[in-house]
Amino acid sequence: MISLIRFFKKFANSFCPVLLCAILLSSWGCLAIYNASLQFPQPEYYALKQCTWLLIGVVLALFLYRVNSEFIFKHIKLLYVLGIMSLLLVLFAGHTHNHMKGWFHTGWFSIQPSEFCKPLFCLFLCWYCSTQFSKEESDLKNYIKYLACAFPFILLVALQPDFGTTLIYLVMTLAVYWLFNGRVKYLALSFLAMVPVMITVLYKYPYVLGRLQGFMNPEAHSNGAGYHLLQLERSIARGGFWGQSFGKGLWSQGYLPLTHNDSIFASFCEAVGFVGGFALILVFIIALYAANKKRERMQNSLYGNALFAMVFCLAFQAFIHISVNVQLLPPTGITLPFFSYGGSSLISSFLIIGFCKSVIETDKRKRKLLKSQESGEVEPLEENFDSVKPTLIEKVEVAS
Amino acid sequence: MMVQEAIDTRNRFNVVLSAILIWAVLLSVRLFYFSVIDREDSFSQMATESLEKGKIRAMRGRILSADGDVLAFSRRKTALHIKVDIGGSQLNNLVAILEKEMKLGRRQILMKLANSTRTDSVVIADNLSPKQIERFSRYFTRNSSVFLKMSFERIYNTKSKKVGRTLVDDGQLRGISGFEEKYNEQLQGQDLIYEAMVDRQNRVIEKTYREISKMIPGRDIHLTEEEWR
Repeated sequence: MISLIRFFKKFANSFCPVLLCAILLSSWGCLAIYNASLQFPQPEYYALKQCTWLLIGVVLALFLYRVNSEFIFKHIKLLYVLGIMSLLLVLFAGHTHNHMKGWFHTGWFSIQPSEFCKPLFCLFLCWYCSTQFSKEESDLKNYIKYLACAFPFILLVALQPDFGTTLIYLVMTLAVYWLFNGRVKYLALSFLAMVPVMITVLYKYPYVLGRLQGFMNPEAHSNGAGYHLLQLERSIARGGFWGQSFGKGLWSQGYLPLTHNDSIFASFCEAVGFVGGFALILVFIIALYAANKKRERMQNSLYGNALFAMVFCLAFQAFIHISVNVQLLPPTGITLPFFSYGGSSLISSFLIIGFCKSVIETDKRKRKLLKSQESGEVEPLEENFDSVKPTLIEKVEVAS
Repeated sequence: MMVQEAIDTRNRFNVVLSAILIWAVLLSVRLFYFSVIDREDSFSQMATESLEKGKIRAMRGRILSADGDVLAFSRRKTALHIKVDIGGSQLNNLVAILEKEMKLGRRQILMKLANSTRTDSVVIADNLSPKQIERFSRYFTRNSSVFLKMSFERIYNTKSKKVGRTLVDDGQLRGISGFEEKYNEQLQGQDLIYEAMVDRQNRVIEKTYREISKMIPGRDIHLTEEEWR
């Protein structure tokens, strides 16, 4: 009995539960994608492809888990430059889809760099706030420098133009600043500065204005911009409280556009009803709450805040997607993490999971080392916490 | 100072968590509203949008002579119609499809539209083959300005006026003279009437299909020697 408890304790402390939850969530997503694709001639096509991405995502998450977070933060500047370069390259050599130049097309699959850059962007912002904010300089100067670092990412994604992802980058910039003791007045100023930008976007891209008009009054634009919103509402309504069960989503199969990506939540709700939809909202809330609890226990504030910021990024993206599906926001084209069809989005979500666990493990090792140093078991060394448990990267470094 | 900073940091995270929590509550309430409270209203809208009562005409029976020769029979044909008020972009798309599928030139289509005297729709292509029908069906969405219309034509193998003639009345062949009129009821049969949900492409969603009245094809009429003489 005791050994069984020990096993469960060990299991609960290991990477497995988090990864298992993510896999379960993604499998649920694969099922939802299959359900949403039943009207296509090959309904299993998207679901099978998503399963392949899921496998790749799990392998990458396990790999990232073994990488020491210190190593990632040490090379964050290089990763930042690589991120910017990929976003720049996609503007010139990218593939255009839905009026957006955001994909590298390679025959069987496409890669969306803006999705992969999301976790990297979060990490960079956390690292910048934690290490580069100078106490000698004024808060405003620090903030302007911080914005200058975030701006290239935001601009390059907006130039694609992918306004949904741009929104995520913008909110992440402001949220990370806030979490790292940012000033409210500068945040308010940033919001004010965004107003003319938004007006320019509405003026330059009439389809954005159309979406907004459709959102304001879907019935009046039922054959245009409001059509999608009306079908979202009806799909959810058809699901009712308990849902119609998988395979019986007639409305999402017959009417709902983009059932396997932009409208997956509504399609999912038609199958599993209010109960399933609510459970999904709860999953993201619990994840964020758990991340906060973990952050409080962590010693290194950079690690803790990075963990929270990453989970916040996932939850925020999920809530934007759900808000669009329940008509609280106009269509943005943002996918539901772990659920929507798309390899880049799924792999990026798993990378976040892998990194979160890596951060937790690194912090744990650091704490363990400090404890043993205090008790005199280990000689204090400079940055010697890495030596407690050599990670994969270190082994590679030693070998080379 | 350190304690104050820790409290401040904690508060910042709590602000973010609270905001997300409020957002989640809003989402849940909205979801509940759509799935439970406003469900009936959505259902009635869904019914008006997707529920379609359709009719499939029964094939009119044949008229046969006493020797068994077929004097009159019906043939099913499908035509491609365009509404005369078709919009510019939709017309351009359609022209591209027709050029590809029917080898119809742009000029030909536009001439047909320009020369039309009808006020509702123009027949662009008649007697489509089953393969063409299948290919065209993929392109059409519900309420679009292009649609396929199925009808029957009556073919006579005799010049005798005794057999009579038919007229298309409400999409159905009705006998107006001779044996066609005399045996109209037997020849006509009963149309199939169904109720079903249709998708955007106007395809019937199988699981929702319900027959209101069954189809009974028109009966063949065998004329006696005396009648024919």
